[in-house]
Amino acid sequence: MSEPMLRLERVNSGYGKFHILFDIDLVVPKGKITVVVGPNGAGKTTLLNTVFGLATIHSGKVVYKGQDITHVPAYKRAKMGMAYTLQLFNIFSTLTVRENLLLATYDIPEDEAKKRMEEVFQLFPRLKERLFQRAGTLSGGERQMLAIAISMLRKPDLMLLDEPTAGLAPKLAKEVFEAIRHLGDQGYTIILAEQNAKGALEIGDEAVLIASGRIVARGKAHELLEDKDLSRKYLGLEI
Amino acid sequence: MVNAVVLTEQILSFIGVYTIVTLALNIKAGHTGIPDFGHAMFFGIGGIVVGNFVAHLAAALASSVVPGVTVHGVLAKNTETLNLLNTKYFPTHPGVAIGLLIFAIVVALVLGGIVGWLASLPALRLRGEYLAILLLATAEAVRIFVTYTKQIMGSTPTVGLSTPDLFAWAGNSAAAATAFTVIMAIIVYIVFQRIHNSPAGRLFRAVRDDEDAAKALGRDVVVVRRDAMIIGSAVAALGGVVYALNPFLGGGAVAAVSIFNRVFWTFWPWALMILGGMASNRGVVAATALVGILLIWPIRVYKVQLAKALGASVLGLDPNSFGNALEYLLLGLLIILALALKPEGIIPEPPSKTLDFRKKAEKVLKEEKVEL
Amino acid sequence: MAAIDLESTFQALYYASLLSILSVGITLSYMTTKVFNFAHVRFAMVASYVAATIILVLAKSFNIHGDFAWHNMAGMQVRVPLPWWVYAVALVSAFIVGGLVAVAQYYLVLRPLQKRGAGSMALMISTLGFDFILVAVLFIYMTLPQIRRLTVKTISLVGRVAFDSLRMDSLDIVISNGSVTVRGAVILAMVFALATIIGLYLLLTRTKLGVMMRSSIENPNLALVLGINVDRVFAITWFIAGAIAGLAGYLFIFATVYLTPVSPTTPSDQIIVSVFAGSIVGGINSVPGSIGGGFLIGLIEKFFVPLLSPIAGPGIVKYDKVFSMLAVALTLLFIPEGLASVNWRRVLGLGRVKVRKAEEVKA
Repeated sequence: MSEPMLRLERVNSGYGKFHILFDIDLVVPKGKITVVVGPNGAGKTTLLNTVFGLATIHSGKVVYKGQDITHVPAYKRAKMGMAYTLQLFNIFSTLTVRENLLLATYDIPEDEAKKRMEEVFQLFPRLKERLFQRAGTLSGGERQMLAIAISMLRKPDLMLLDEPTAGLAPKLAKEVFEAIRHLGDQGYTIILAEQNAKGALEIGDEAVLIASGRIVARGKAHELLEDKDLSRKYLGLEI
Repeated sequence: MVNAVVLTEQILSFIGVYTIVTLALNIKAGHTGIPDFGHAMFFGIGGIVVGNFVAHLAAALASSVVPGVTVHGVLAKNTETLNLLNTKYFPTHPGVAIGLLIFAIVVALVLGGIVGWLASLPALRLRGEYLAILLLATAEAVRIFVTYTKQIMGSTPTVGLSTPDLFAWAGNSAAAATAFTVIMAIIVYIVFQRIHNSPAGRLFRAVRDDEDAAKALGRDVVVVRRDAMIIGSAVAALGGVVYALNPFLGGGAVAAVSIFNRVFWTFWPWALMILGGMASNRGVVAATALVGILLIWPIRVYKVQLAKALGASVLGLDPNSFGNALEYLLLGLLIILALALKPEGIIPEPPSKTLDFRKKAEKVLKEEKVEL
Repeated sequence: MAAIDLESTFQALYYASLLSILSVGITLSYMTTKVFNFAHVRFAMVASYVAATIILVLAKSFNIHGDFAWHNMAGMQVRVPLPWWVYAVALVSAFIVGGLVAVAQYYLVLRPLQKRGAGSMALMISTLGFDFILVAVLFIYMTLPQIRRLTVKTISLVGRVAFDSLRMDSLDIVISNGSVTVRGAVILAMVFALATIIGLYLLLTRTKLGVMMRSSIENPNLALVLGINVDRVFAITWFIAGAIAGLAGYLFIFATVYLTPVSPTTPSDQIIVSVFAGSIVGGINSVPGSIGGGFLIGLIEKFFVPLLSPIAGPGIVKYDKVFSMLAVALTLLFIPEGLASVNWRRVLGLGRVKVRKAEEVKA
């Protein structure tokens, strides 16, 4: 069994003195999509913030690629191969799509950058059409695609996606989920936090359910989806 | 050798006037969240009321009684005229002096309130640091205008106008002025404590904490802000009157450079308010007393000894500069340490006294036999 | 009589240049920390004292006596009291010291308070606190005997109050072509302003650091995601802001007509509000805006207001700052993001170009 990409060991975290997550144990395997679902305010974003280094860790360990990174600052974790697509304010709105993409590759040599851009355009052809448009004027779905594209361009070892389909119409949400599944198939390790439990669990591999700051269920994504009790109690799904 | 009585009066005067000015700022900034960085201009208005309006009025009344006193002479021959008033008129006309005192208080409150109202108008559109800078700029413009307009503050901005000694009829006018300062401070404190615990006070704080919620509950936020500015500015002007009439503070004269000085009458009150606890009246009094007794006056009175004690003479430091340095240093450190270690202040804002919610909730739950 | 003669025009340009380089520093520190830094102009004061000290020390230790003879240079009469390198060393020191004091404020005061979750008003007050501490340091420093020898009892412009201040304008370079005499500080001010504009433009648009600065300012969290050490980028930005202020400080010691020579509290207290005005009127979130805004405010105060004296009387010049404060008020109320935020193309009726383009696209 190969070393998991990420391990959280009995992590308690929050913001400053506020305690949001309690005793989180989590294993994120390489090359798989791990879905994090749960009701509003459960701590999904805080979990991602904890992984990336934007939250305060009160106790516990965060182990990434075998290294203890509990006290490593966020920008360093980014350099170590983590890419975080925030839920809001996840693009440079005053810059054009093209400038956003160029910025994402500011420290990568030009030919490599070109290669990666091509991959992005294959997955999100719509971005190529809007290249010279100011990012702030993009539609909701296009913004999310751009945000994910920025993360992709970092060629990360671990992608963190925070509710990428929030506020999107069902058709667009489906497109985004399909793109994420495609990335998973290409071998990216992804942690996907989602309110849209059904859509996320349908494309995920592993899953955990968070409620009130604790993990209340874990397993394969389709198992959680098929568990009627869980679905009704926490996710408001009627199967 | 320092006279203990005089020293006490100095300290009390300092604490008194700063209590008034800082409590006034507290109503605006601490309670209602209006970042008034132009507070000094309202204070200065009080000084103008005393040095200019009261002086003119007194001269008008005295011109028929005291030879050499003319209304025109208030500005034209300021020192002479005021000297005559203080030595020949006020000591023998206590009724007039007290009447003028009341006049000064009322006019300052009204004028301060009006200008405060005017200053609240931009607060409709601006928030936060933008509003702070606008008020700072406004106060600056007022300061410059007053400094160079002879008709208001006399021909020499640093000398200014001599103040009428409205306590000249009392045996020890300096002591009387000090008593007046302290009494005014106490009155202001009582009034503001009342406001704090009243529905009006809670309204100020509601607007500060969550404007949208206040609006949703049907409160006119604009009116609330306006009222806070009016009250706070009026009382600041009152502070100016107190300052002008107190020889330990004004030193017998009001000058634009001192009464409109933003360091003394905007920035120091902000520091004291932060130190004491925003929206905490008791905190403000505690902080002012602390800084006054333990810091400012020892430094001002004992600066030579302090300089020597801290080894300054080794470096050949001038005690005067050293005293200035210490004041700035201590205040600066206090501000930063307070913000870092105890941002709520020495005596933090007390919770609003409303229904004791928990007791009532428990009672209701028990009656309904509801389990949580 | 308010003259529009060459002499006062140069003075006005000097003052305007000075404000422009100070205003851009306010903007740089605001864009990174969202705080108006009350201590900013004091950075210049500290740099002033350091530069003055160095000039004094160098002059003494190398036994240099002011060379007050006139030389001929490119057809002009030039008087350079001290060797060129003395000025250069002082200037570089002012630059570095200004930057270091700024970084000190960032790391010792602002960062710790930000980490504790202090709000923007609390942070603004903290800059006041730091300002007070700097004043204290200057007061103490100024009383050192070596510095005292440099100071002169100066009468303040406002009244008859005497205070100790640094006065080194006799050591300034003077250039004359017979009819017009210009002081070195005046030329230098304009050179600094130009250098600041060009330097910042190149930095922000052509260098990797510039890109990192712009992204960190626009969206700090996203910049973190890109692996940018936002904290360090902001610290570097503060260094630059302070260093530019240091340049202004160097100019202070050769103070001319519009600035009271240097003491711990002046000219900083005199001009800080005008510096803020320049930043705000130009555009608090715009680097070129604030440079232009500072220059504009300087011109308003020292060039345009004197032009009003035929109508309003000679005393109008004393009210010069009232006009800049008016500009600030109007800006904050109607275009809060400053002149730089205005869509000038639309305002000036260049909109027709845009309309045609849209039609082309449709076709």
